[in-house]
Amino acid sequence: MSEIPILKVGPVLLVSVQTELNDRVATELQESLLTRIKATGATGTLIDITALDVVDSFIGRVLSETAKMARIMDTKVVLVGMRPAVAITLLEMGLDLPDVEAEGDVEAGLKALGYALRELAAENGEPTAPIGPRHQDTRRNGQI
Amino acid sequence: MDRFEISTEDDVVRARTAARRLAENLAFSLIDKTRIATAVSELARNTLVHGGGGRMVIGEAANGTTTGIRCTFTDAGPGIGDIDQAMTDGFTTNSSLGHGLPGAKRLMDEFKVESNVGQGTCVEVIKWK
Ligand SMILES: Nc1ncnc2c1ncn2[C@@H]1O[C@H](COP(=O)(O)OP(=O)(O)OP(=O)(O)O)[C@@H](O)[C@H]1O
Ligand SMILES: [Mg+2]
Repeated sequence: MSEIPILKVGPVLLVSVQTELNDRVATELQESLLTRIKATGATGTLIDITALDVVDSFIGRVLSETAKMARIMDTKVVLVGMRPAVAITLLEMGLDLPDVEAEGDVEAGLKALGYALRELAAENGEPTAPIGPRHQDTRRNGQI
Repeated sequence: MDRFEISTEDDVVRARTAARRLAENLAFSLIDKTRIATAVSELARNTLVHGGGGRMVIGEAANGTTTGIRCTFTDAGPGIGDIDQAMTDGFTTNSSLGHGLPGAKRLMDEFKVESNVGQGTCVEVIKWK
């Protein structure tokens, strides 16, 4: 089991990394996330890394492997909240996180998955307008 | 000068946290703090994974009026047979990405590796302010 909570909001899984990621915690998160994706049939996953002040080659590799495996399971993973200093450092190191799509914040991340917050609230049982995934967003998304 | 044992994954986290804190105390910029912590994370992990554990010594460096941070990683592991090859982007002996050593070199201002096969490895890096 991963120490990092994985929340299910409608068809989307939300992960917010709030602890220091040592190698074991990162690997466990990858395993439990993939298990959860399989169990729920989630169509999208957002990983919020706002709290991470370091993404090194190990964490970077875990993130891009997770995105790649999730895609094989028909789930799109979007990384949100990467700090600018972290993004610059990754580029300078020559790590381009293949297979990882990144957006600025949770709202933009959901949009990239084809959902809006309001719609997810509705799918979760809130009484609002009738909904479904929005039309696929065809705009090219930032690749880190 | 502070000394950190590196024998577990949590020690890798402790090493990069200590580096970040010292960089903070020396008033390095945000981006430099991130560069230093990331390079330390790479080198500490190499000490753990490839060197079989070792230690980091970290402290202030001085060059005339310029201050900096110096981190030295030492282990008594198998050593690196071909340093030029190890410094090549994408070279790895364990199906990793192989960006740790060349990446850390790019993030820091000075970078020195000394290694003897069968005796161990010492990597020293400095970031100037
Ligand atoms: N302390 C060490 N002792 C022995 N060999 C080392 C040490 N540090 C690095 N090496 C050797 O140099 C190679 C390159 O190191 P580098 O950090 O660049 O890549 P990696 O550790 O294999 O992968 P990554 O860091 O991208 O996960 C390693 O695969 C290893 O063979
Ligand atoms: Mg390495």
